[in-house]
Amino acid sequence: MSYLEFRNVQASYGTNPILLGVDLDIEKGEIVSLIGPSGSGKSTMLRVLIGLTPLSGGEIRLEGKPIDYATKAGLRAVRSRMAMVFQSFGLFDHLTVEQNLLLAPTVVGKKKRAPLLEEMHEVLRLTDMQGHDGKRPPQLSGGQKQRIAIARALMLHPEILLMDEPTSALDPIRIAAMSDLFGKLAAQGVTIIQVSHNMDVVRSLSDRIVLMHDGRIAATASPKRDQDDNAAIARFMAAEAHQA
Amino acid sequence: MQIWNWHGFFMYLGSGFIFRGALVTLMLTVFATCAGFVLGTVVAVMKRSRHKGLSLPARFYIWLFRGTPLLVQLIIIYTGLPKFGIRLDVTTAALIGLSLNEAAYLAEIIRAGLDAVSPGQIAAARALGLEEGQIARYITFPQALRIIVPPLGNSVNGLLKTTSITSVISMEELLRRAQLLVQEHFMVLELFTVTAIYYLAMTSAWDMIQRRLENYVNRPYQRTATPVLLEPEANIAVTS
Repeated sequence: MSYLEFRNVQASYGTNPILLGVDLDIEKGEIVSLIGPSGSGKSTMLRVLIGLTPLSGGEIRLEGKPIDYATKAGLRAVRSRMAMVFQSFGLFDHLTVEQNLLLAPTVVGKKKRAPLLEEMHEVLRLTDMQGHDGKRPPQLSGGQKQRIAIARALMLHPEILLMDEPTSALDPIRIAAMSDLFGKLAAQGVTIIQVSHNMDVVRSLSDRIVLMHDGRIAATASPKRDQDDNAAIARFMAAEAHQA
Repeated sequence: MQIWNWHGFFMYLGSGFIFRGALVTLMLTVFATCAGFVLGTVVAVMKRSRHKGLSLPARFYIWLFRGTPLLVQLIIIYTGLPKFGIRLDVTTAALIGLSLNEAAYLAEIIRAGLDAVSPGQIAAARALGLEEGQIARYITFPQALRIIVPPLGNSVNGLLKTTSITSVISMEELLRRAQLLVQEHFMVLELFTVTAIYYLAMTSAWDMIQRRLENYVNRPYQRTATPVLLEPEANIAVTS
């Protein structure tokens, strides 16, 4: 039994099928990178896992138990163990950075504000965003917004961290710093599933690379174990790197 | 016959009869705005629902009340309903008519405000574990208000003057009281000038309130006008 198991997972947007039966096992503390062409279902994998897009077939099991997405209690339970960083950041424009970071822990987690403030400063330090807590998202650059989105997810102490293009707006030095942070989180047992087009990050960070194509898994590779990637993955990564 | 009677003009300007009429106009406006806002919010939320059982009645309501004149609605409420055994006094009929009508217009304004909040923020809020009621309270409504307030102000300004239509069902608001005095004293120009001054005073006061409301809902965004400091990582990116 794996920590997280996708079993014949299917999903669609309206009548448009996106995932056509995905089977994937993920271990605790693993860093899994989903790669593949646009529309192949990478982001949908994350959205399905956190219950934003409903399953149209199959199931997902967490520690052997099927996740119940149909009830409020089930959704609450699964979301309390996960956090997601969105490609478009999804920051709340009318709230300050501090309010963005504290909203879920206070409103959902019912925690007291004072101890959270200390935690917030630590998380802002980790993401190199200290001193920005009074600003609002429209005052931040793209890279800063992305780091606040990461910080907001970290405030939830997730067991599973889902990230959709978490380094797309960052410069090479900050990408290295964030990759380092993700590696440390994984070493502490946080399972990370990310979607990325940055092949350097994917290669250096991932325990496993999953290539998606047309709603299915086309190939997987473990770059830390194999010297050579799977041929299909190597081809895709070379093409992506060439484009970049 | 003299064209303009200054004495009459000042007499009507200070008239308690006219002043109380203006208070009635004000009361009608405040009540219809509040009731219209509450009902309009309900209709807007219903219209945005994915369930046809909710969205279709909301569409029908907006279609009906925006598609017919307030005058017709008032006459039907005041003189039509008694035929079905529902007898309303003038004030109640006027309040109901104005509120129902205003709600239809405000529903569309509120819906546009709710639609303006990006779906990405809603998805992020759900992923954070917030429930729908919490999302409405903390995310959607505060941001929608900023979009809603300017057109809401227009609508209230319009409503202040539209209340004069209730004079046809003999509601004794500002215009009706002026008309009553005209019938007695025939000082048409003086009385309607006084009436216009009262309406102008009320709409001007509302303009001031609206400006304050706009400032209030824009508070979170005001500092964004200052230029964003040059991002250090931009420097790093250029030099590395």
